[in-house]
Order: sequence, then structure tokens, then C-alpha cells
Amino acid sequence: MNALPSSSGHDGILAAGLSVRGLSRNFGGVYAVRGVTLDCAVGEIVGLIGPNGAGKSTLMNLISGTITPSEGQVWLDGSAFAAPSAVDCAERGIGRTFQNIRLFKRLSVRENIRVAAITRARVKGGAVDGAAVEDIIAFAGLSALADRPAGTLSYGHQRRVEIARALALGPRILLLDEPAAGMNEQETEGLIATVRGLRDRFGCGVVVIDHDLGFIMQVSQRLYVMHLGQILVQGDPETVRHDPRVAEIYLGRKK
Amino acid sequence: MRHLGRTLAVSALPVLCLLALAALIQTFAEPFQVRLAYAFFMNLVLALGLQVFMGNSGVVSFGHLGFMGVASYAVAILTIPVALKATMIPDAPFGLAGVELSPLVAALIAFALVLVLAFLSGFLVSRLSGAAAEIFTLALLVIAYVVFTAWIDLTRGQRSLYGIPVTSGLGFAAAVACVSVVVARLFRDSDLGLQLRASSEDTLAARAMGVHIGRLRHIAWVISALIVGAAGVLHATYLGAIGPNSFYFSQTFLVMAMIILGGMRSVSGTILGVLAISVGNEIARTLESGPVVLGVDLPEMFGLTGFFLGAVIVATMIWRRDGILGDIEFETLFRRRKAPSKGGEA
Ligand SMILES: Nc1ncnc2c1ncn2[C@@H]1O[C@H](COP(=O)(O)OP(=O)(O)OP(=O)(O)O)[C@@H](O)[C@H]1O
Ligand SMILES: [Mg+2]
Repeated sequence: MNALPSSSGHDGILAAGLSVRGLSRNFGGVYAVRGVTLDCAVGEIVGLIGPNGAGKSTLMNLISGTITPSEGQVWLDGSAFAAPSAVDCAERGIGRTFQNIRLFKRLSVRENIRVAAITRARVKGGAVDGAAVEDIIAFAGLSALADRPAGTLSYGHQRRVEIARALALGPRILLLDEPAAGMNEQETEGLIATVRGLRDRFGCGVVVIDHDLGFIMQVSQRLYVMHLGQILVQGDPETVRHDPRVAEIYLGRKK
Repeated sequence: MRHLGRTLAVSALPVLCLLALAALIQTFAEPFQVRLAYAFFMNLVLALGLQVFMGNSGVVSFGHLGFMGVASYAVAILTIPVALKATMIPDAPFGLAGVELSPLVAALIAFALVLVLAFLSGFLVSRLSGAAAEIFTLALLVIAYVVFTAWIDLTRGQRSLYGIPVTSGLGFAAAVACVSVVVARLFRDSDLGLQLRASSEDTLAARAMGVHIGRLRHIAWVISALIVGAAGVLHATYLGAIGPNSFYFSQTFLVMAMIILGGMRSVSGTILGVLAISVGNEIARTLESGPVVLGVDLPEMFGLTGFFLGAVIVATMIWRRDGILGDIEFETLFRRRKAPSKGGEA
């Protein structure tokens, strides 16, 4: 992961946060993500919406190094990742969750979180900060469940463990792929508070994907709307809500 | 170091039980029972070695008996008196026919050899993914066997190498087993062990959490090979004679049955499995020869021990895939009993 010359003014690359420039990925002849440009400053919550198959998860996989881009570049805190792996991304401060929950099911909740905390300790040099782990467990509201195998928890709790685990990396940017999926109204309310709270408390930028317009409008400061692999519309929630193109892709109005 | 202290505390129970067992048998048992107990402790070391790699990484290894063989042959060739070597392996390469070392020095050289071989083979094991890595370990077993049987100048091929000074005893084997228990627990509970166990459940998620899976597998591979090497040293220095067939499929199968039955994901499960299979195997061996039980003269049942091992593996796979203990260590069992869980499942 070579750091290209860090440039604050260069193309508006953020000095503190995530900048994605011209990112593309094709599978065979089909582009799942095409020329995407996106920013998320540290301390900001950015929403990413779009219909099924729009390319949201693929974009998240590209940013987190889970899959490699065909073209384009990801910048974090003003320096670019050249051919990053998922491990590089985790070490440099990109934490993520998965659309289909991927916990270490047989490890306890605490051990799940510790796995990420070990990486953070290795990067910073030193031993695992046990107090910080407990802090994250408490923050995520998992104290009573900390010794339970993660796979035995309810769906909503598992989603919280995934967020807590990503937080234990000490991320600069947190990527949440449909964190509210399968949650009831009350759990969704709680999640909104959690996402806001973690931004304030852990000082990271957050990119949230969701289908649920209500949830995403409430939680995000800025929104990107994705369609067929490209960013169609971006702006603050009010602007996006009233953009006719958004209604069109969501409600399927005829062109 | 908190981690070390905790590991010593939780290892205390199995370690004390093992030592007590060794002391009892040494004091009261017949010589053939002492031999059985020695085999038990040696197999325990072997199984714990395998547990360190397989139990934490989730990758099956068929190749570890090769490391045991390397250590056994190294100790044998280095310690057998020169006069005997002149008749058995007079043309041994590297001037080994004229070398006669103390068992301690020979054991240290054997460990160094295993370390180098494990370190080198570890590059492949850690780079290959799941099934490919497992097939590679199988190839390692076969390669080691071919070397043991075909390098006749060095190993005497299929015929056994004898005259190894018998310097080991039950107490020593028990001590090595106890050290292995502690090492296996230390590794399992360490940060490296935890991240490796995480990777065995979900490699994609582990990478996203910054786990260097290949590097951790490599470390576990080397540690486990060294423990298995210790079993090899125990083997050679007790029996006094070794041959290539002790380091091949049947022994691999035996130790696999042990860790599968007890549950290789925990050190405690491994201990339990070795104990259960050792006892069961001995009963099967007795029945095999058609003894008289309660006045009934049983028929000879040749092959019963092999059938027993196969049946244990199949039954475990069907009814309890993670073995008897699964992820549980002994101390958790006690903690659970003291504090019954409120929610039902825990
Ligand atoms: N590994 C892959 N191989 C081939 N095609 C893929 C692969 N991953 C994604 N795609 C395709 O890329 C497109 C975008 O998928 P993606 O999962 O990113 O959409 P999404 O916006 O997350 O959708 P959803 O809301 O359903 O989660 C889809 O058409 C999908 O079929
Ligand atoms: Mg998706």
C-alpha cells in the first residue's frame, strides 16, 4: 500500500476522511459499479441508497478491499491505496459490516470484538486495550450478552455485534451495509441513536447503506443515490427526497 | 503477564490429573500397563500437537506424523551406538555412521530439523486455501514415508532401526504431556490463537477485521510440528527400536479418531478424546483375541480395533460433529455448574 503524494487540494480529496474517485468494477461484461465518486469526511454520516442490484454492496466491497477494482482509486486521509487487500484496509482504519451478517458464530460476543481489537493493538503497537473492548461492548448495549456465543443471539443483537466488532478496529471510516435490515421499528430507532452516538463518541465517518428511506433520511447528513452502478443523485436528504429521478427509480414511474 | 497466569491456572486441573495418573500407574501397575500408559502420554502429546494446528485453523492435516517420524529417526540415527550402526547402516550419509550423541543433544538436533522442515513446508500450507492445503499435508505424509522407506542407507528402509538407548520413562512422558497441555492452551488463548480461530469460522470476515490468516496458520503449523516432534522423541527413546510404519496412515487414523471424538477445537476435548480412544482401543484389542468374558468364550474378531476407530469417527461425524466437548474447556464446565445460566441456553 504505497502512499501516493498526499494532496489536500488534489481533486477535492479529503484530508480527513474517505474519497472514492472513478471507481469501477465489472463482472464479465457487466459493470456492477461504474465510475463512482464519493466522499465521506470524518465525523460525517453519509447515506447510500438505491434499488436492488444497484451496486451498493459491491461499492462497499471495493472500498474495504474485499474485492479489487477494475479502475479507480480509494483515498483515506489524503493518501491513496494502491492495490489494497482487505487486511490493509482494516489496518488503515476502514471498518465494515456485512449485508448477510458474518460473525464468528462460535466465539463469544466479547471474543468477536477482541479479534478486531487485536488488529488495532498490533497497528498501534502494544497490548489489547481490554477497557476499550468493554467500553465498546457497553456502548453497543451488549454487556449482558458478552459471554454468549455470537451465533446464539437474536438478529438485531447480531447486527449490533457486527457494528461493535468493526468499531474495535478504531476505524476512521465505518461502512454499514443495511444495518437496519430485519429490525422492527423500535430497534431501528435504537440503531439511529447508536449510529449518531458512535460518530460522536468514536469520531469516525460513517457510510450507511439501506433500502429504508425513512431510516436513511433520518440518520444521514448527505445522501448518494445509486442506480445501475452509477451515482445518480447526491445531496442533502431534502433535496434528494424531492428529486424526480429518485422517485422514478424507486417507484418505477415510466420514463 | 496476565495471559500466562490465567493459562497456568486453567491448565492446573488437567495437569494435576495427568501427573497423578502417571504416579499411580508407575507405583502400582504391572509393566505392560506402564507401557500402555506411556503410549497414552505419547499419543496425548501427538494429539495436542495436531490440535494446535487443526483445532485453531480449522484446516485438517494428515501430514503431522511425518514430523513425528523425522524426529524419531533423527534421535535414533544420532544416538544408536557406532558399533551397531556399523552393522545396520554402515553407509549412512554425512558420516552419520560414525556419530554417537547423547539423547539430549540428539533431541535438540531433532527439534531443529523439525523446525526447519515445518518452517519451509509452512509457506505452502499457509498460502494454499482449505482443501488444497489439506491435500498438500497428505502429500507430505506420503513423501515422508517414502523417504523413511527408500533412503535405505540412512533409515534401513522397512527394517527397523534398533539399539536406541532407552532413556525415557513414564514420568518424563507425563511431564512432556503436561508441558504440551500448557503450550496448547497458551496458544489457543493468545491473541494469535483467537484470531486464527476466528479465521476458521469466516475467512472473509476475518480478513476484514485485519487478520493475517496465512501468517497465523504458518505460526500454528510450526508450533504444532514441534510438539509432534516431541512425541517422536518420546517414541524413539522409549521403544529403543523404530520402523517407518509407525509414522503412516494407521497412526494418523488413530490420532484423528482421538481429536475428532473429544473435540479438537478445545484442548480439554483433545485430552478427553485421547483418553477415551486409548481405553476403547485397548478393550477392542482384548476382544479381538477372543477372550473369555463372564464365562463366555468369545470368538476371535480380527480387525476389531480398526473397525472401532472407524465407527467412532463415523458416529462422531453423524451425531456430534464438533466432538464431545466442542468449543468447551474444562474450566467452563465447572463455571457453568456453579452458576446455572438464566436464559436456558448459554
Ligand atoms: N461476484 C459477483 N459476480 C457477478 N456479479 C456480481 C457479483 N457481485 C455482484 N454482482 C452483480 O452486481 C450487481 C450489483 O450487486 P450489489 O450486490 O452490489 O447490489 P446492491 O445494490 O447491494 O443490491 P441489494 O440492495 O440487493 O443488496 C448485481 O447485478 C449483481 O448481480
Ligand atoms: Mg447489497
